[in-house]
Amino acid sequence: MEALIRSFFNFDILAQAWPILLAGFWMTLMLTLAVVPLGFAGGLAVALASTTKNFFVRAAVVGYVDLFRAFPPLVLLMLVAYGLPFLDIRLGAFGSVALAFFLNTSSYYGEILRAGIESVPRGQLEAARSTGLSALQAMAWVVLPQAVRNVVPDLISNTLEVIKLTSIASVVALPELLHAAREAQALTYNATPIIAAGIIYLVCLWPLVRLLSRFEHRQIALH
Amino acid sequence: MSAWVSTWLALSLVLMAFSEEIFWAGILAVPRGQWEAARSTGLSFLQTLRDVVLPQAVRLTIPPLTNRTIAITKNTALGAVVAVGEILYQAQSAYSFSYNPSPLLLGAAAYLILFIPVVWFGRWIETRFAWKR
Repeated sequence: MEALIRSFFNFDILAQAWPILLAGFWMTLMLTLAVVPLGFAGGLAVALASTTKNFFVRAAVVGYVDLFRAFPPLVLLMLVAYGLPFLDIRLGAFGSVALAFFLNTSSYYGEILRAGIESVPRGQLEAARSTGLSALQAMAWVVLPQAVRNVVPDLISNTLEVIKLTSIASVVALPELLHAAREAQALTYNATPIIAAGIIYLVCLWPLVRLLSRFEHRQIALH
Repeated sequence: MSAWVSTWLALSLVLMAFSEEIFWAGILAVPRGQWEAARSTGLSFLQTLRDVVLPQAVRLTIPPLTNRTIAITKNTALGAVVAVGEILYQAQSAYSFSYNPSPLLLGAAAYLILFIPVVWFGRWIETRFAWKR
């Protein structure tokens, strides 16, 4: 028992590792703030492109989405981080992570938003157009607000996934929370920093998980 | 615990938590009237669950369950982090051995060959079991 506390819940070690963990936490936060809005914007573009009548655009969108849904995020990150420098494209650790995550999350957000847009009855678009709104206005003011509302739980769930997934950035030596924790673990030869990182993730994501559950209940209640 | 077992256990636990949520949502999505009608015909609680509610609930859960399973299966690539000798790990070793990104590209191609059919299967499942109102 004492050995367990000494190697997993050691407060002296925690005090030493704290500055490293805090720096890691900020990096994770920056990464999240960079990756989530970028992925969402990309997803919106993908979803809008999939509503056009042009066959080639639609086929390209389906190809893009299927490609990056089939690609394990870690493999994509490896390829971007270690493959692109051979083409003289140097993005740095943060840039590589941002690009890999953009490709991966934009396809997921795109699928979710497309499902949302398809769930809005066609009559809504027709009614909006007949009142004189342009196609763009009808999409922006009538269809999209309803579409997003319908898929809020899926959007939150995907965002949660993305934030958790930022931990794989540690494999390309970006000093985010998990990387910081492993560094601190190697420095102190003690597993406490890893446990602390786990707790930080838990504390930060727990409210989002509760929020998700509430939205899911509400959606089930509407059926 | 070997690296293989750790990876297996970690991914299984994650999938377990997600599928619990999906099954639970599926069961709640079956209208209450189904329960009440089944119970009033004399079925026991267990019979109602097994013969009336679960068949309807499982049908609803198939698309999200397929998607989640695909997502978790893809993440077997995470095994590379703890040195399980799966595709990514082998590709990384070959990459550092030869200092050439071709093995990485080949590994990526292997993942695509494995998972693109699975993604298509997922799409087919989604349309096949789409919620019909």
